[in-house]
Amino acid sequence: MGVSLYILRHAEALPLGPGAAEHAGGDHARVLAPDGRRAARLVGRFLARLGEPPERVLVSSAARARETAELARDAGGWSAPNEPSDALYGATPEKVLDVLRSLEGRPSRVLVVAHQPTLGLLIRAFTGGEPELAPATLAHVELRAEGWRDVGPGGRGERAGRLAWLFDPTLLGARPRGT
Amino acid sequence: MKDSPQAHAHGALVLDVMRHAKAERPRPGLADRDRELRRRGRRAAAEVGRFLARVGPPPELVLASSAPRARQTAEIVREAAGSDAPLELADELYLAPVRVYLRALAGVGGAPGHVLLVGHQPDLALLVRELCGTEPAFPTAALARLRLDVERWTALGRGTGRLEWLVTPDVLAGLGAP
Repeated sequence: MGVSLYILRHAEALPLGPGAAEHAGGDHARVLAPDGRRAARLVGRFLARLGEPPERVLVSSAARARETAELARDAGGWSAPNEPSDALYGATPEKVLDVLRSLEGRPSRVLVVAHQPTLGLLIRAFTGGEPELAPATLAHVELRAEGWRDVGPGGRGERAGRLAWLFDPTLLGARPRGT
Repeated sequence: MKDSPQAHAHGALVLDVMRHAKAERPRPGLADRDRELRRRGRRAAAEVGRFLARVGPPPELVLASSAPRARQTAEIVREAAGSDAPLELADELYLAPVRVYLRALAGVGGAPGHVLLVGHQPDLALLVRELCGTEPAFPTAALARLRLDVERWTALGRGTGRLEWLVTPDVLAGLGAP
């Protein structure tokens, strides 16, 4: 049967301004760039059109991740609320695994909105390989585990899950992307 | 790159890996190898071709299994992508182990920088896994783009690629028409 994990890297954020590190918040408070806001809405519409709305949405507490999740939810129109968590900011993949394992209520589709390199490493832990993960990239990993409690990294030769798809919807936008 | 037809800039090789689209069901008297695309498969292949054209420059060479469902998929994708890339058919890519795929890619002519490979499951998922570690689910008409950290097709091997994206007909439906 298995469970579905959707992984979304926050959209493009504005860099820290000069001296911004001394301001309250620092990196944690960075907000999305205008293109990033557009991308976040695009991702939300895309996920809704796929007919696979998330039942739980776990979000890094960093402003750029929360903003991405809020814009995606507004555009996608799903009902699951965003659940901000400090544990998903600057997290190791093991930490994200802990958060997933402690999920209650047996949701079948969970969306995690967080950061690199955490998410790439998490995909590697599940599928064996680390893909490219540009901002606003959304991935769907099909996990073989029966429930979240049983989710774990694969063993030798045995993958915990398969990558169903991975895409950055802004690739199809009119705007040419930089490198 | 133009003055060096044999080698491409570091990391410049691109491999698109596609599974043939939906084929007719097996039936008595029809060899598996001879199964042809269903109408739904033809539609999906055309959609993938149009997507390929939207997402960047088209492949310079199309390499396909000569089994009808793979050959037809390759022809439809190529046409829908508006590509005039040569189409090479290979008998050995029907039910082939990874090393046969690698050998076929190593033997492509004309030193293309971007190849579209059309073949079968479970072979293709194993090829993607060999090249970039990730094991994909690979439904019919799925398409993966791999960026390869080698300059020549002969240098392909374990871990030499990175998955850039992976789409399926369902994903393309979600992305919508242009």
